[in-house]
Amino acid sequence: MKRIIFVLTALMALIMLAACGNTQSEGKSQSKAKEQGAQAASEKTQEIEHLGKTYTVPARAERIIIVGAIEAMEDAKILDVKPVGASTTGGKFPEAFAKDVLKDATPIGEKTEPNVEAILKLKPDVILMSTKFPEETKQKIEKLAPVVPISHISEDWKDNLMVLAKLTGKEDVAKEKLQAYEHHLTTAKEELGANVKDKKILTLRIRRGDLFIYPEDVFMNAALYHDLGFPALEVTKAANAQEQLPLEKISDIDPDYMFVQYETSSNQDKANALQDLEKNPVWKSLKAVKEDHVFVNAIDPILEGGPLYSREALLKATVEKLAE
Amino acid sequence: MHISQTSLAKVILIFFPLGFLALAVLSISIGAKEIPFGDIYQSIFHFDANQPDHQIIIHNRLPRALGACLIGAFLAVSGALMQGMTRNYLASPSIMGVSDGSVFLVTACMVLLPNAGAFVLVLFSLAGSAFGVFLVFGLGSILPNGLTPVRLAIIGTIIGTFLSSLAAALSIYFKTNQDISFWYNARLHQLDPAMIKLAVPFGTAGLVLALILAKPITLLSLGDETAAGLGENTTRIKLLTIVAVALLTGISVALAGKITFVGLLIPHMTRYLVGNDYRWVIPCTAALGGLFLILSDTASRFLNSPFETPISIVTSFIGIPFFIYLIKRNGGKANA
Repeated sequence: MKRIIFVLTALMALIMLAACGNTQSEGKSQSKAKEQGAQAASEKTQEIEHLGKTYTVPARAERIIIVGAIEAMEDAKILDVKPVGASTTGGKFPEAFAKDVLKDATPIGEKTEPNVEAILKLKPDVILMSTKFPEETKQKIEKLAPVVPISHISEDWKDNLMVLAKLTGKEDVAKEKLQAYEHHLTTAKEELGANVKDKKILTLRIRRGDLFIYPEDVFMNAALYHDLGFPALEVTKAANAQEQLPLEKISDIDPDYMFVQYETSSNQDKANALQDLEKNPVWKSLKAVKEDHVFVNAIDPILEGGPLYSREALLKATVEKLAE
Repeated sequence: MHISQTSLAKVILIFFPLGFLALAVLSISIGAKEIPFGDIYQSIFHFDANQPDHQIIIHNRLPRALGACLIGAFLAVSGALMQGMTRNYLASPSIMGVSDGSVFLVTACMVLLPNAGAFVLVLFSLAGSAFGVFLVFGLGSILPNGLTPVRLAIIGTIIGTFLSSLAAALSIYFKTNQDISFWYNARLHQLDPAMIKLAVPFGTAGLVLALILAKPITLLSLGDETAAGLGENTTRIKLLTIVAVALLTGISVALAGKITFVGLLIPHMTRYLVGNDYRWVIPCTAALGGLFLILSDTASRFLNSPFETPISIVTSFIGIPFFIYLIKRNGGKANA
């Protein structure tokens, strides 16, 4: 009997050991990182102002790695920059980037769990890392190469774009694209007319079958409320972070238009949270649903909504959908 | 002033319908959207499908109140049965391999039958719960003294961890992560009236079985030898108890995902209040569990209004202080 318990315990211990294995190997790889850091320092560097801090980075970054920041992938697409490594979502690169920006990139682990060894192997000049990560992950990654944080707040979209432009010497392109956006925005506003002022527009994301909304300056909200001038809703103002919204609250708001972003998991057949929602009588009684003013995945659901690439797509979709 | 435990039990049972009614009305009348009381009355007795508010009451708040009560009762009774049968004050669905078994089979089902509907998943969840408990108790009875509280807890934890590792491996390999976490997310706010109807027969069967088993479990809780000496067939009782536990837990998990704390906490509270006679413990724990979960669910709408707060946070918030108060009042008397 004791032997069986012993064997079972040993089995569990083995599994646990395997799970801890990752952290143990990190200790060794850190010393390597320092050597590499020393090498990089001997090359030419530049100082970059970004989000109120100064970063010392290579004068021209050739080997860029994106850790967790979809924003940076979107900016890379705008600037035609090709990172050497990037995070995956559900085991692979998001479709929106897999064919161009990340065609030659190497996966460095899931979006929320960067793999230190995979990053080191790629010998990065600079790492673009999402500000969503907890402090301890940041510290771990900072030991590998110079890290430039990529803000997940939509309001920082221009800073995110410009920092990548400076790293790759493409500031002119970035400025050009930003100007083009301003131009598109003016045209879009003219097309939408004055009635945006009294339209209630709600952006939702469906995750694990729950409905989530975001603060005024996060997600697609910044583009819709700040750029296009739709009035921000009370619930949006009340949200401090991603918040779970009860369905009946949506009935309370009864918006004119709804943008619903729905990330389907790898297997399409099983993702039926949206169908369940569409069968729900409370959902069916919403004004926007009755008038067919619900736009599901008007832009690719992987997009963050804040970066220039998202904004351009959203602008186009909004004008198209609202004109119908 | 001292009230005897039996009369306290009677008080709980007599006041349960009243408490249920009061809490249900509270739960139905409070929500993210303000709906006048008159409309609530109207929607129940003169339902109009074209009125959004009526839809909210009938399709959202009513099932939520009823479902919360049922699930609270199921989980609490399930916990009471396990604690009584094993004489283990740590016993609850989460450490006896019940939930993990359900996770394992539901994962397997999602991999093997990707298009399975809700009903099939419910069946798999039930079968999984039973599988988990049978594995734990099977191993416990093969090993000498395997059914003593500490050994059983160890075996339960080992098997539970093993099953959930298997489930994790399956879901990572077949990339079903998101669906699995969706299935186990506590989701009282998404209760579907159709699912509740589906759950009622299973749950009722479990509750009836629990009530029938109440007397033998009282004897079992005194120890196997005592129970056997008093003429009970301990093996049969244990098997039937496992069936009841699997039914009650399996159906709760299938309805609303994993809801923590109710199965562990409520039976303890009940025994503090009404003593160790399971003929009183079982019905009282069902009543208290039901009321507790309606209350927690109603509170979950306030904490971060107008947004939802996960129910497990609320159950711990309300549960722990009350639990500590009970321990203090009873001077830490061992009441396992």
